[in-house]
Amino acid sequence: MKTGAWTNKAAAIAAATLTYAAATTTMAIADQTVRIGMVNSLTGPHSGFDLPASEGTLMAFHEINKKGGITVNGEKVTFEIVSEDAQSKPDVAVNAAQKILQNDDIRIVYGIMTSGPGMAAATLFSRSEVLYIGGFTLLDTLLGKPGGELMIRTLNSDAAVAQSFVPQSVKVLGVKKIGIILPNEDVSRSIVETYKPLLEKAGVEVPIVEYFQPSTTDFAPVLRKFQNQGLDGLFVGTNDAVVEAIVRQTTELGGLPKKFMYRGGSGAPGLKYKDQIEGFVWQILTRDLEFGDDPKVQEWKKAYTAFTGKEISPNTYWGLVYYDTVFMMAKAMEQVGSTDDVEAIAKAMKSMTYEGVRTMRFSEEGRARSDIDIGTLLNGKISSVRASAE
Amino acid sequence: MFIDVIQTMTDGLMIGGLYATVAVGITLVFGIMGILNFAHGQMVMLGAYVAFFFVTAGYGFWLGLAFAMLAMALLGLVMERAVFRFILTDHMGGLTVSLGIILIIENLAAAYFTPDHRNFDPPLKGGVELLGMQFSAQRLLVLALVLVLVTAFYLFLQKTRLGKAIRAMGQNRTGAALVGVQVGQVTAIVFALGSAMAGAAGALYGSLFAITPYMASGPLMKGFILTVLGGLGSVPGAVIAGFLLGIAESFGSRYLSASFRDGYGFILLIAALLLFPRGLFGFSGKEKV
Amino acid sequence: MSVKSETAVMINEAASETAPGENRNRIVQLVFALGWLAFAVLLATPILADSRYLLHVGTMIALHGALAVSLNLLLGYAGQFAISHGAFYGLGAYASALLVTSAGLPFWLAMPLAMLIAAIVAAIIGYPALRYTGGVHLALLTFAFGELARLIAANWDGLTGGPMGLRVLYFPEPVLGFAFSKASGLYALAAAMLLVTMAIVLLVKRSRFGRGLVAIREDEVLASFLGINVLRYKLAAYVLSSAMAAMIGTVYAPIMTFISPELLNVHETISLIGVLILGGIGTFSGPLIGTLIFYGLPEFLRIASFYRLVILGVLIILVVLLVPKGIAGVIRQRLEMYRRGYPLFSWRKLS
Repeated sequence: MKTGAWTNKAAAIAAATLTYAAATTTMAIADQTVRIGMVNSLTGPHSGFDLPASEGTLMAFHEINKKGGITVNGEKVTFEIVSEDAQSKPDVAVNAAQKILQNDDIRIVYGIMTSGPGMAAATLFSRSEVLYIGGFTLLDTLLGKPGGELMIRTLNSDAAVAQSFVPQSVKVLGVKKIGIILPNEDVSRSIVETYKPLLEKAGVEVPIVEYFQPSTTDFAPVLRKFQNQGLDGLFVGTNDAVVEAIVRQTTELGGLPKKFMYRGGSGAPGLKYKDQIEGFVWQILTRDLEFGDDPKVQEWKKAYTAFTGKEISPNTYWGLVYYDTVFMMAKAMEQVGSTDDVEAIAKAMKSMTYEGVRTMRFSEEGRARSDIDIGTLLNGKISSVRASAE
Repeated sequence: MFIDVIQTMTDGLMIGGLYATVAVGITLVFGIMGILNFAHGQMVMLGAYVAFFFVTAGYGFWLGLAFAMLAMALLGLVMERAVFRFILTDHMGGLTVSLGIILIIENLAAAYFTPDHRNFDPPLKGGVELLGMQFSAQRLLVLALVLVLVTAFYLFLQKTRLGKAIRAMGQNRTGAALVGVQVGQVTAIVFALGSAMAGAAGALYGSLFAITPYMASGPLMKGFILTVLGGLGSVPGAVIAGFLLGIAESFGSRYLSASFRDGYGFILLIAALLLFPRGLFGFSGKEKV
Repeated sequence: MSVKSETAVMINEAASETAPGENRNRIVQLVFALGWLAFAVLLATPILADSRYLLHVGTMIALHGALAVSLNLLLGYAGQFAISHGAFYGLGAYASALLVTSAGLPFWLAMPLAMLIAAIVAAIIGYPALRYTGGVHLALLTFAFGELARLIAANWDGLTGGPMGLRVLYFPEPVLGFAFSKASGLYALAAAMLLVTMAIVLLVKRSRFGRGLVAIREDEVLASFLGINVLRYKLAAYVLSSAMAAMIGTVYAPIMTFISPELLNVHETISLIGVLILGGIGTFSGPLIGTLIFYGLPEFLRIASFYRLVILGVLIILVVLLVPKGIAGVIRQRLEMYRRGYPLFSWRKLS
């Protein structure tokens, strides 16, 4: 029953789509309009990720259209978006993907950053001749396999992120012995497989890994397992709501570490309790919008606020998940001279390096090789550093 | 090890107390009106939001708690007058109507409150150390409040005139009416009272955990389990069952697996229903409320 | 089954001691025939229109319709309030998907096996729950069972894929050269499920067993005096209804290409109960009318699902309080009164 209820935000999206459609119609110079599909969880618990991501995608297409579109084979091409809500639920995501695929002319689909609805929709896309550009973690398991040829993940894999995130956070926090606490999900197991060896390589002992029921609110019993183990840090995930509850309950229970490494969301859960904890390090898989001073980022923030009418929030940085990739796709269309030869477009996208707000490059299999930011809260001070792609 | 057991036990009592606060409302309404109110969880959720708005507006936790109870009592009164009084003792009708109320409240709440997680500042922060054991200060306060609320509720039913009238109705509606109990009025009061307990439970939940429009199903399910375990209509039974369930969950999560947390309660319930179909504490059948 | 014989059955059911006017009788027959005709037209529309959109919507409506019809057997005819239908629906989907992908069985063998598993589970749950009259026990126990099943599906990671769900990459094997790998094939499969459940319910309804169930619904004590084995009848209805839910679940898996524990959510069952009440619980056409209104109308009106659920909530309450018989129930009653010589439309309250 967790259905479309984020009315005001959904209305904002609808309004954005409308303004954007209006802009398209006034530009009658376009010879051709290409329709692009979008599936995102605009409502429900995952909308914190997907809503900004969809706004960023719309914004990129809006910018392209405003400039008069792109030129493919001498023809002016503008874009039109068909958007469906996955409501944070796998079954609804399949339904939404079905609806997109009912349009025979849609050959490229963007969206979904969480693995539950993501895997559901991607299964359907893998059976269809569409180029699917997504962001969710488990998409990595589909890339490079049969059915995954026409898929691209715009966020670095955990394996790539962990390479820079683990040493950086271990150095900043100065931890020696940490515990891992994650929800009982597939993603969590792949996270542990990736991060635990790297942590150990960085000289950190990991004596305890615990999985909890994903809908848990009372963490007292499971946190007791971490008490009095001589731990100095906790590795937590995978979304803001869960991590905020964990951070809060560690400060209440006592006898638990006050330093956190967070894989999954924003810095908000740590910042909220910054007076009660010592350190909090989080991954910013796109760009740090709040504490960095990159001029390109500042410009994007202004454009985002103007486009959506919203303030920058801790989750806004997900707006950059597909933003640069949209321009890459447009460039690729111009290069190959086609708007529907998705195989050629995908190939062209994978062979370019794009200097947008993020520096983007894709591997042969469609895995992102981008630089990321790492956010740090240490003794009340907040900062971020950029970690290079390799 | 021993310290750890005591700590886990206290964690269990605390969370069990919250469950019990939810359950006494469900149990009372079921015992008196014969209505299994699935929308009780929504009252808990709304109570939490009332407290949230009061605390964030700067009125403090105590006023928030009081107004959560008051607001839910009023809402309960309205629901009883507008809907439930027409289907008294009709199990299926009451159940179905409460399902309808869930749909209305939950979706309106999601639209107006947004599905964002909300928190409000509890009156007590951080932890305390007692005899080498570590506890959350706010959790201890919640446990104390639960004990006060539940005891007050019990004494009200046992000692006051109105409480006696309520219990009389629980045993025999017609009989109570014959000896001069204003059945209609008392029924409305029962519903308001049960709803007020839901409001209190919501405010206490909110002081510990995040609030969302979808938080209702958790407390509701626990409340149901306890209503059955306690013997369908027995208030003391529901309270004791609440503490038992909290302890079972805490020990299960602590020493078995935290990933099956809610499962322990359902196993307890199914086992109890198979072995003691009248509930753990419903054996006498005399002392219904 | 021919349209005519079904109409005759319905008329017979409504027959009373007062002899009806020949003319009125014919008009009533015509109404029933028109109802069946409308149903046939609706069923054929997605295939004839050959639109991917209509096929998809039609598939979902047919599946939900089948679920509502199968739940109606238990709730409507037997009067037993179980809240585990969604759980058995999900159980069927998971069991068949695992039998096909892990055990390598053909789909058409996995389907009856999944139904058998569901039937056994239903018998184990149903026996203790149905021993008592009043139904609250059954409601609570099946509610608890449903939630437990969802938790198990979400936590038994190695088997079910956990909360992330299970990908389904197979299609049912072709039957007599008819393939199910295309949208139209999957629609035919869903429509077949609907027709099969309708046929089963119709057969039950006309049998001694079905009449026994109605007797139990009306008065359990009286039914037992009439020599009906109340517990056995109730249990049989629960097992049959649950096995049908599992059957529908087995086709859900390849249609949706994906199953997750959310499928077992109690809200699915709650929506179905709402559908039954809206359409008319315990009537033959009620579940179909309810499904069409609840799942079909919003699809074409493009109403936001949020409003749909709020409106459904209000409707459920109003229907329970004002027209407890539901839409089909009212229509049936009106027609019966009309046949006995009352006017077809009147504001006079019907008793």
